[in-house]
Amino acid sequence: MKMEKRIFRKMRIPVLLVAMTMLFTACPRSKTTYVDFGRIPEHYLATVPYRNGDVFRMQHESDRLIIDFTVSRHRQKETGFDWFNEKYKPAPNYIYEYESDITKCTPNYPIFNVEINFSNRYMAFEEEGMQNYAKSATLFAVGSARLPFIGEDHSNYEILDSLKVNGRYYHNVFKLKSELIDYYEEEGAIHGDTYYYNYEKGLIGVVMSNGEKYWLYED
Amino acid sequence: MTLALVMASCVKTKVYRVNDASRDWFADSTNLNFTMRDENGISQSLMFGIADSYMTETGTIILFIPTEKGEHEHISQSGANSYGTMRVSTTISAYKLEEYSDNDEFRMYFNEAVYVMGIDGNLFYPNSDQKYICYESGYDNAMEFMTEYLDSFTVGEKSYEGVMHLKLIDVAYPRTNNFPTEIYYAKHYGLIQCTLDDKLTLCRLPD
Repeated sequence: MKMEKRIFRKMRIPVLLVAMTMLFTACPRSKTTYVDFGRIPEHYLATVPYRNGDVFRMQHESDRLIIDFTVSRHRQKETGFDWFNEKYKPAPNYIYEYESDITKCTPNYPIFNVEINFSNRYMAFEEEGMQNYAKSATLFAVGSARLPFIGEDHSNYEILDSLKVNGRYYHNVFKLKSELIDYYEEEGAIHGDTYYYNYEKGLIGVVMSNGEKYWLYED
Repeated sequence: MTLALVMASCVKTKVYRVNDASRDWFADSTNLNFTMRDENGISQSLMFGIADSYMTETGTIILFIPTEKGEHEHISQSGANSYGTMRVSTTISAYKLEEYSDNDEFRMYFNEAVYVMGIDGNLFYPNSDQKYICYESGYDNAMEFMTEYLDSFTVGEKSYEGVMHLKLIDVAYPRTNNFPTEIYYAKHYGLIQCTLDDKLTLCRLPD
């Protein structure tokens, strides 16, 4: 009897360990895959010429008003699920780490803000798989337009060799049409309809849906 | 406990509704979306929702026994401009308990400003000197303003009948950008003219 007790005492810990291992391995656990998209390449970021603290000026076509836009720009790491990705189902098991570059231009007058947002989040949609960077950048001014990149095939813009604004010529200007499809448009509300933009100066002009125009003003 | 239940069942609920005359202050469904233009020629769109009515309950309990119950109607209408720089919300509430006043309460949130007063149709209360002090935002005497009723007022070549004119005198808390310092508000139309920061006036364009 004493012998049996001794054996039981000796075996107690290994038996417990085996039991716990069986218990935990028996529970089904979902596998989560972390995908890190890394940093947005510098040559994409260079397509937005604004730096944090910059101030640029836009003149309303009436010539009576010049509006200062103050720039705040920052880059941040973000984490999120991708709920729209058919290819990599089940999406909730993929956690994406990506980078956003957010430029906000705040006016000193009660009109629209201008925002330019970059993100490499949607690279997984690319045919090449997860190694490629998606070229996702959007310009907002109560409406939105996608900024084009060199060599990118895009149907929503024209390239103007030059554009004369307030006596100055600007070269390689993108004329971007708004992709706005939301309640502003449905209600007939005034929104940004066409944007003029180049990589050197950024926003050069905005034409609103009611025809009002704002142009870059440089001393 | 039984007594409390019996007493509770005996308390009759009084229903308080917004005066018919006060309801005219909300924009009709045909006047919800419009354009305003400032003196620099800059236009912006404003979009409002249909006025929405809802009820809340109040009651008084003394020694666990309910002595008074009331249902109060509130009518609310909100909107904003498409640039996100103006947000306006107007609510008229039927608070007709004896300890308050016999009038509805008019409350307008316009950006960071809060205009509050008693109202009964075309009459604003208290109207002894047409000056109002409201206690909001955690500050005493938060906003002091004047008001007047105008039979008609013309904005952008259109004449509006039945107009409320609010003018800020002073505000106790720090003013933010686009603070409304003067408002013209018409029956059946809502906002028709406003001045922001004492300097920029926006006028409603006729349809």
